[in-house]
Amino acid sequence: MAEITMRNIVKRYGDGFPAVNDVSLDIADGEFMILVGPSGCGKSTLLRMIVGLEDITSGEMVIGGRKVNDLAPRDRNLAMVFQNYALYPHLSVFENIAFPLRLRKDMSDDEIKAKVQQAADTLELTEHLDRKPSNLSGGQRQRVAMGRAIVRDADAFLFDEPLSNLDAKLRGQMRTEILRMQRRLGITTVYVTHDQTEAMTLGDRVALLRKGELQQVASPRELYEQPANMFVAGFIGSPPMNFVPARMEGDTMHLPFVSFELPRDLRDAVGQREWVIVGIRPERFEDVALVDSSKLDTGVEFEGKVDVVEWLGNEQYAYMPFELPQMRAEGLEAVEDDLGGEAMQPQLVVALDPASRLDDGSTARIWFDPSRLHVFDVASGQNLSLEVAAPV
Amino acid sequence: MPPLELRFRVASPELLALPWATPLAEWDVTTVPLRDVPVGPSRHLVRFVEADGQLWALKALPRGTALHEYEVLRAAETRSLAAVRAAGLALQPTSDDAVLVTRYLERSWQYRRLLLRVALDATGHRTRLFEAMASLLVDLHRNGIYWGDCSLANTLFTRDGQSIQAWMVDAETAEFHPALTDGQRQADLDIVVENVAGGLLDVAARRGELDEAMGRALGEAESVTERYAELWSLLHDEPTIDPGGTEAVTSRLRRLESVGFAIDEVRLEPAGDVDDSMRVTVAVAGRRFHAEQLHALTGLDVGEGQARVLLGDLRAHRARLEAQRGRPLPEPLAAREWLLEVLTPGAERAHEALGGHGDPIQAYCDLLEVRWLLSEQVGHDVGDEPALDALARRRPPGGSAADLAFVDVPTEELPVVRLDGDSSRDTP
Repeated sequence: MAEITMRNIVKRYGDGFPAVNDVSLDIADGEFMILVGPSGCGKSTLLRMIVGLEDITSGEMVIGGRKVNDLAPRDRNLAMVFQNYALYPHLSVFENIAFPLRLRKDMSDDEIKAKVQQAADTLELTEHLDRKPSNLSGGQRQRVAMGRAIVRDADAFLFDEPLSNLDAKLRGQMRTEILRMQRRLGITTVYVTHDQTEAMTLGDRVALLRKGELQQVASPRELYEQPANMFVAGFIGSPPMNFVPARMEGDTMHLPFVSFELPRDLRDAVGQREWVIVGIRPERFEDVALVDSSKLDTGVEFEGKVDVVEWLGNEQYAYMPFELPQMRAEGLEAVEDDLGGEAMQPQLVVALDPASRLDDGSTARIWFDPSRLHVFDVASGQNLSLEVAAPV
Repeated sequence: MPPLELRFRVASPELLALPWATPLAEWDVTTVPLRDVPVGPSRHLVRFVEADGQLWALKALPRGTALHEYEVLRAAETRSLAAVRAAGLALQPTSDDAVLVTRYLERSWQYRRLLLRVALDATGHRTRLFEAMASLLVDLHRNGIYWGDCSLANTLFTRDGQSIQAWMVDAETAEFHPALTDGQRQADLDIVVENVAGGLLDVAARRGELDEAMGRALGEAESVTERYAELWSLLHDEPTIDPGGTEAVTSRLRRLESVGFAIDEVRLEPAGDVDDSMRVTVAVAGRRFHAEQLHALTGLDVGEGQARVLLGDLRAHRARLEAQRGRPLPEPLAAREWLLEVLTPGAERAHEALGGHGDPIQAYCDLLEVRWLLSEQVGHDVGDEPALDALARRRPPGGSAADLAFVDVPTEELPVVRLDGDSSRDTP
C-alpha cells in the first residue's frame, strides 16, 4: 500500500511539445484516482510515467515515500492490471493465478497457496480454482486475470483503459468488478479512461486533464456541481451541459430566449463583463406544467419550440433550438475543439420528467432557477459562479 | 449507425466481396469460404477465409483497438519487421465493431504445435525458438515498437535455414514510438519472461509433465532475455579502444555480421581529452546481411538464416571450381554457375525427398545440414545421396534443424470448416 505523489511533473518529447505540463497530484493511500480527459490530454503519458514506461523530463514521482524517477518498472512494485491477461487453457485456475509467484521462487508452496486462496476469496473464484479457464464465463476469466495482479502484493494497481478492448456486454460487468475489488482490497488505484461515465462511477476523485495540464481534481460530485471551468463543465455530464451566450445590461441578463434579473451574488461575480457564457445542466430545466407552484415564483419561465423529444423510459430529453447571437470570444474555439466541437449548439437539451407530455413540434413552457446557473468568462472559460455558494 | 467503411491494402476481389457488414461471428460456412485453422485461445474471435488462392486471418475487435493494431502492423511493415501483414480493415455498421484482416503466414507454426511434438530434451529446437523470440524483440525495439504482450501464443514461427524466425502476430497492445525508453524495453522483457514461462507450463500440463517443467520453465523463459541482452549490447555498446586497437573493432563487426546485422557506419571518435583513446560506435542497418549479399549475387530473396547457409554453399562451390580450374573465378560468375548447376537441381531433389512438402530452398538447406552432420560422423564428405536418403526416411541426425521438417506438416492445405462444426483439430 502506498500513496503516490507527483510534483511538477513535465514530459517533453523530442519536438519540445509538453505532453504533460507541470502536473502536481497527490493520490492518497487506498484512494481510487481516475485520470480522464480527451485523447491527447496526457492522461496515459502520466500513467506511463508512474509505471516507468516513460522517462520523466522534470519533476518528482514519489511512491510510498520513495522517489522512483530512475527506477525500472519492476522495481516500482506496481501492478498493471489486465496488461497481459492471457489465460492458459491447460492450467487450472489455481495455477493460472499462482504461476507468476512460483516463477519468483521466493515463496513456499504453502505461502503461495494461502495467497491464491485469499485472492480467490476476494474475487469469488474459490469454487472454480480446480477448473480449467475454458469452463469459466467471460467475467470470471477477467477475474482470474485480476487474481494474478492481486497475488503480487503490489503497492498500487494501475489500469490503462482496461475496458476499451472488451465487448460492450463485458464492459459494464467489469466496471463493477473492478470497483468491488478495489473496495475490498483498499489498494491505491490509478485508472485511465477517456470515458466520463467510467470516471464518474469509479473514482473517489477524478483528475481531469486537458492539453497536458490538470484542470481540476475533485470528487465526481464536486466536478459535476462545481466545475472549475467551461472545459470541465462540458466534459463531465451526459448529455452535456448547455452553453448559451449571455449579454449583461445592468442587472439584466439577456439569453437568446429569455431575459431576467440575475441574482445579486451572480451579478457581482460577472462584474464589468458585457458578454459571458452561461452553463445550464439539462436537468435544471423543468416543464412548467409539472413545477410545484410554490417554486414557480423563484425561477424564470420561457417559451420555446420543441424540435424533437427523445423518450428513454426513465427519462426524456427535449431539443429546443434557439438563435445563436454574434459574439466575439477568443479561446472559445479551442475549448469547443477539446469538447468535440459540440459545446456551443444553437439548441437546448432539456431533461424532462418522463411524465411530461411534450411532443415533437409542440411549444413548451420551461422553468429554471437562475441561482443554479454557471457563469463562465468568455476568454478564460473560468467559472465565475464558483465563488457563489450554491443554494442547498 | 455509422456506415460500413472498408480499407484494403491488397487487390483481392474475393476478399472484397465478403459479407463485411455482417458480424464476423455470423458468417456462414455455406456462403463464405471459411477454413479451419487450429489456433490457440484468443481473447477475440479469429476466423480464417480463403480468397483468391490466399488464406487470410480475420479478427473481430472493438473499432479503436482494430484501428490501433492496423496502424502498428503498418509501421512494422514499413520497417520490414517480422510481423504479420495488415491486409485490410472493416469498420462495421454497428457502433463499435471492426474486423482486422491479416495475410496468413504460410508454413508457420504455433509454439503449441511445435512444442507438443518436440521432446522436452530436444534442447536444440527449444534454444532456436527462444533465440528467435529474442531476435524479434531486439528488431522491434530497435525500431521503436513496444509490444506489451509478447508471448509464445502471440508469435508464429517459420523455419529459416538452421534457425527459426519469429513473427509478431498479435499487436493489440503494441505501440509505435520514435524510440523506446529503457523502461519500455525492460517492461517488455519482464512480460516476455512471465508469458513464455506460462506458455511452456501450459504445454507441459497438456503433456502431463507439469511438475518436471516447473523447474526449467523460468530458466528457459529467462534465456530469451539473456539472448536479448547479448544482442542488445553487441549493437549498442560503445567501447573505448587505444589507437591501433582496431582488431577489437573488426571482430565486433564480424560478430554483428554473423548474427545478420549489416553494418551501416562505424565511428571512431576521441573518447576524451586525457589520452588518445577512441570511442567506437557502430550503426547497423537491417538484420539481412547475408540475405542482401545473396540477393545481389543471385536475385534470390530468402530469409537471413537460409541466406547464411546458401552463401556458405556458394563459397565452397566457388573454391572447388577455382581449385579444379587452377585460376580465380569472379564471385558473380561463380554465383551464376552455382545457382544453375547446384542450387536448382539440389533444391528440386531435396524437396522431392521430403515428399514435396515445404519450401524447396529450405529443403536444400536441410540437405546441406544433414550431409554435413553425416560427414562429420564418419570423418569424410559422404555426398548428397546418404543425406537425401536420410531425409526421405525421415531420419535426419538427432538434434539437427532439419528434424523440424518432420515435426509437423506445414499449414498449406487446410480442411474446410465442416457444417456440423465438428472441425478436425490437428491436421495429420
